[in-house]
Amino acid sequence: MNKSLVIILREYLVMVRKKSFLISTFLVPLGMFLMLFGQIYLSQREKAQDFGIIDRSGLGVALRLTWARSNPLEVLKGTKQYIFKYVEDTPEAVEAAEKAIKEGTYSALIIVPEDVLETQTVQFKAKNITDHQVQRWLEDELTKIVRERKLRDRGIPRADVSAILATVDLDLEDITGKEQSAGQRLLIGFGSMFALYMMIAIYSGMIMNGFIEDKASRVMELLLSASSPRQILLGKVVGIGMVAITQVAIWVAVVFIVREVRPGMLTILLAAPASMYLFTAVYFVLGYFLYALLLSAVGAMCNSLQDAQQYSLPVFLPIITAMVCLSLVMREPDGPVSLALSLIPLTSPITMPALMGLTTVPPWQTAASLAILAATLPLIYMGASKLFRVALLMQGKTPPLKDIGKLLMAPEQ
Amino acid sequence: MPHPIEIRNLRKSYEGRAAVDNLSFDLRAGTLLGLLGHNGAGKTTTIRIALGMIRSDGGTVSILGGPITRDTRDRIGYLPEERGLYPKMPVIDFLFFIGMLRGCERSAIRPRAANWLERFDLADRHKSPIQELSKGNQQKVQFIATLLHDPDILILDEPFSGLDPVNRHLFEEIVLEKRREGKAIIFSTHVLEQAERLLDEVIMLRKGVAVVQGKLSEVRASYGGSKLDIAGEGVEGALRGYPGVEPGRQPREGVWRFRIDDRSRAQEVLAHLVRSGARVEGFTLAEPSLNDIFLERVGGIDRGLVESGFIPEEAGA
Repeated sequence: MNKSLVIILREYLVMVRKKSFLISTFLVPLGMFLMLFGQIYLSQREKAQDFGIIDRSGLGVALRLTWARSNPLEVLKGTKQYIFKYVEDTPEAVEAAEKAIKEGTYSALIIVPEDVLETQTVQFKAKNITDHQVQRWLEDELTKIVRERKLRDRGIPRADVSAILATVDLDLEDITGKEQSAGQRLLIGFGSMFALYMMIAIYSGMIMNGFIEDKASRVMELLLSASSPRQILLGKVVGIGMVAITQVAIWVAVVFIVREVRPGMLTILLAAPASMYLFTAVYFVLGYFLYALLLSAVGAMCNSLQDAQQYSLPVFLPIITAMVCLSLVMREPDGPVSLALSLIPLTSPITMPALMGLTTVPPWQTAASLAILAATLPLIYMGASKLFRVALLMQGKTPPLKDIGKLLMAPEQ
Repeated sequence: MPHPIEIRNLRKSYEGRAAVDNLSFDLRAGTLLGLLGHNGAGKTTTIRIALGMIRSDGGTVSILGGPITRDTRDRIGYLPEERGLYPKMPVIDFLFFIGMLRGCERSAIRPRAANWLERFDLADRHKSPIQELSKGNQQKVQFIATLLHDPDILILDEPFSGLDPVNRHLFEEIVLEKRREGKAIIFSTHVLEQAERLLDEVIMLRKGVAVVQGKLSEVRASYGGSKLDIAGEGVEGALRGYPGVEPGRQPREGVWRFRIDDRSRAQEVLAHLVRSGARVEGFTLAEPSLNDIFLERVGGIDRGLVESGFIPEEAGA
């Protein structure tokens, strides 16, 4: 059997049987699952909120709000139900209502003053005044009621008043012909970027640790006596890569099973076009190989985890840059920063999938990005196996950073 | 027919310091060759170059008739000085991994592994993770991994270090058995008594230079004469300047060791001592041991002996 294959198999079988693999493979989706389920469960369980209204203005606010809330459009939009209850304006009313709020029977008390038309202010008393959604809605509706009365007082006919107060809506249209809403796209783009970052960082880091362990346990010398450095490098990188692919495959299978069992639950994950999944997969594989090779070289040179952490920082810098530049990319998906990050091979595996989620990337850009990335890989492979050969047998001391260039240029030992 | 290993004028230096300097030797089939020397003498460098793990600066290495290739590499069994094992891997899995890495078929490994595990009394531990084994047992696993693919050449770096007497005997027995099977074996050691018992040929390295090299019997003969241990009083003074007798060191209190150019001179020396009035309490004539040769040619074990002039300066430097 081919030696690389023997090493691939060992790395794969050992990793897949590890507890940490089982935990990360099954607990991560389970956790996400519980979060999703929990959210749905909670929102379904949430009770309708009762708002008490003391209306001193005689504008019929309670009725108007109830009517506005039961407007079919509002019912469709909101998940929360609000019930507005008219509270008689007795001297004890405010105190009693406040007590009711503290006991939880009322969510809030709304006091509309007599002179609301002049003061333009309505009191809102509640235990929790951070629910901006309902406050914004109340402000809009109360403004409408007050304006309507003012217009009517100035003798404008009812029909004209509705015409004047009619709101303007934004008609959102994506001219690139994408089917998803903007929010969904943002989520897909950001999600794929973050997922790629996590997977690439975790798995290529795993390789680096593997090399340090094998050097520490002196297995490396045994491997080197039986196979070439390139066979070892290839075997480890591919072996661990297959572990990553297995993990992703299990997750994809889980998503499909869930979709069968509860359609509509994970629609957001499946909302992107098929090509996007394909490109994400391609960038993942290429990006993984790129970083796995770089970190293999780091692992081969370092003799301790501390050294390795220090040396892997510059390697991770491009990925971190890509993450930090996300807001720039989001604001200007076709701007120069986005273009540069999508072409530089060290950042493109992270930036491109995000970009594809955000906008339609021109085919030439995708092609150029992939071509540059694919062309870089053999160079990195050659450099890594060179460093590897020189550094692997070094025990005890990690060469200083400034010597790495020298090692790369040196004739092979 | 070429010998399993032929090395000519091998040179390797690290940052200008010679690790191996113009080393040449042949390893014949069915012989045990010992590489002796202190740490840093060039033993491991020589072995690593022979295995193709590092490249030499000059000279040639021929393994089984040519430069080392993927195929010939698989016909070498290598036991590194630093034992390397995957601590969490079960014994049998590790053996399968190493066996396959050295080009064996799975079907061929199974009976061989079972056989060796039986022989090393590890059959009932074959499923245990290696880290649960004692140090001695881990070393057995490593030794099995070296032998599993039935190599033609065995390269054993300090194979007996850290073993208890029973297991050392078992290891020796197997090494000798492999020699009888016609395998070519190199091992490095610093246990000279043991080397003396096992070796056919010896190379002593000092700073990458072979200071002693050849068949053990020839090395002994060329060392020149025999050694004479004399206990008593006035011995040293009586023999100072006596022709054919070189003053030696003092192996222990009250005993002087001399080198004589010929065994037959011993009688004459004894007579001279008696005549000169020295009090002789013990008189032993013996062949020089490997230890004596090592100390004199490679030296350095006890710098004090060199400084006090008991070992020639060029040997201890």
